[in-house]
Amino acid sequence: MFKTQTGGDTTGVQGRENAETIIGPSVKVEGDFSGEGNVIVEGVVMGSLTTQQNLSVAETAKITADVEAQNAFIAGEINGNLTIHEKLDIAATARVHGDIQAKILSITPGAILNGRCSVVAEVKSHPKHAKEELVLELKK
Amino acid sequence: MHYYIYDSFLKAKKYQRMMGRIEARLTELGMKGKVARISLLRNIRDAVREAARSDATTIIAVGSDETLSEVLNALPDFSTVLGFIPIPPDSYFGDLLGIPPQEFACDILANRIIHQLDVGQVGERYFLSGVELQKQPDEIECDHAFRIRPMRNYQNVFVYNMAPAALGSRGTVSPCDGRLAAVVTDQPPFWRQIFGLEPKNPSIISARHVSIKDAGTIPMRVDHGIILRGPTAIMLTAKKIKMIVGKERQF
Repeated sequence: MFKTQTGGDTTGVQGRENAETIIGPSVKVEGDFSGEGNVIVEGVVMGSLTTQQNLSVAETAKITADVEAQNAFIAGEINGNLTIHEKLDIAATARVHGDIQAKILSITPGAILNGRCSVVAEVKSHPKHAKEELVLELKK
Repeated sequence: MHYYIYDSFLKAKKYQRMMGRIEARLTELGMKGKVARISLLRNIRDAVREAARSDATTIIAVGSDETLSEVLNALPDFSTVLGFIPIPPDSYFGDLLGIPPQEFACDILANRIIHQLDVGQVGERYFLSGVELQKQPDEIECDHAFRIRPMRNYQNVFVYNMAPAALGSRGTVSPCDGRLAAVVTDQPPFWRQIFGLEPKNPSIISARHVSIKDAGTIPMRVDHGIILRGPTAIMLTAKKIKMIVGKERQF
């Protein structure tokens, strides 16, 4: 979506220069958000959040949704289950209320985590998304 | 065959010498073709229709950004290759497409780098660059799946198909990826506007279909020119336009 240019990061969140979608601090997204590229969340998201690439959740972000991504860096608040197919990085400022499933998990001291953690060799898609994939396959 | 559409403002005496230089360069490059001059008796739609009847393979808009936008909207289908010779030195489309102004554009046409670009549609109007909302809407619905709600007052909203550095992001919006970008920014304070600084913390959301929703009427500026009134849907058309672009293009 975006052809990158060189420049410094201003948000403290990783990968802003490569982001396909940036949900800024002054907007609220409601519904089923589904992205194909890197996603940065600095604002409010309610519903569900899925991306095939990386997700960065800034300190200012508040997500009330089930989240699925390839890799994720969490510094804000999440109320919902996280399904991360590769690496999940939880920063000291993060507040996560929900179950976590990831292949690699890193938690910085100071983070608040309230839910079950599963670190597994292969992460399956969230049941809702898995069901959608099955329906698509059947349609084909 | 090349078919050149000259905008009506080029009749003015101050452009005669420059038009001479452009025509001389086109002759040197062996790119002479038919010329249609826009006047009171012949509008751009008539000229484009004539070009289609004469089996032109390339239609070239000669004039300002508005000329290119009008030619795009007059095309019966997008099978013809579209070229552009920008006359104003600060042409917005010229910058985006990497086409230098006036006679220097002739070399770009001769190099004939053709890209298939997405074309946006708002109401009955096609656009290449984007739509600028003149008022903050209540809600922006994307891909019929999720809604964006601005949480502050006085935010600027744009929907881009092609744009340079997307208002504070670190990149440009490409017209070749089959997606639009809905951009929401805070209105920058006047001193940032004076110094031409980018707005802080924009939201940039990629979508194929954007629906603007509001209880009232929203004026929308299309491709830096014509103003339409909404709320309405903004989407990409199924077809792409074949456009001659320069190496210095911003996508």
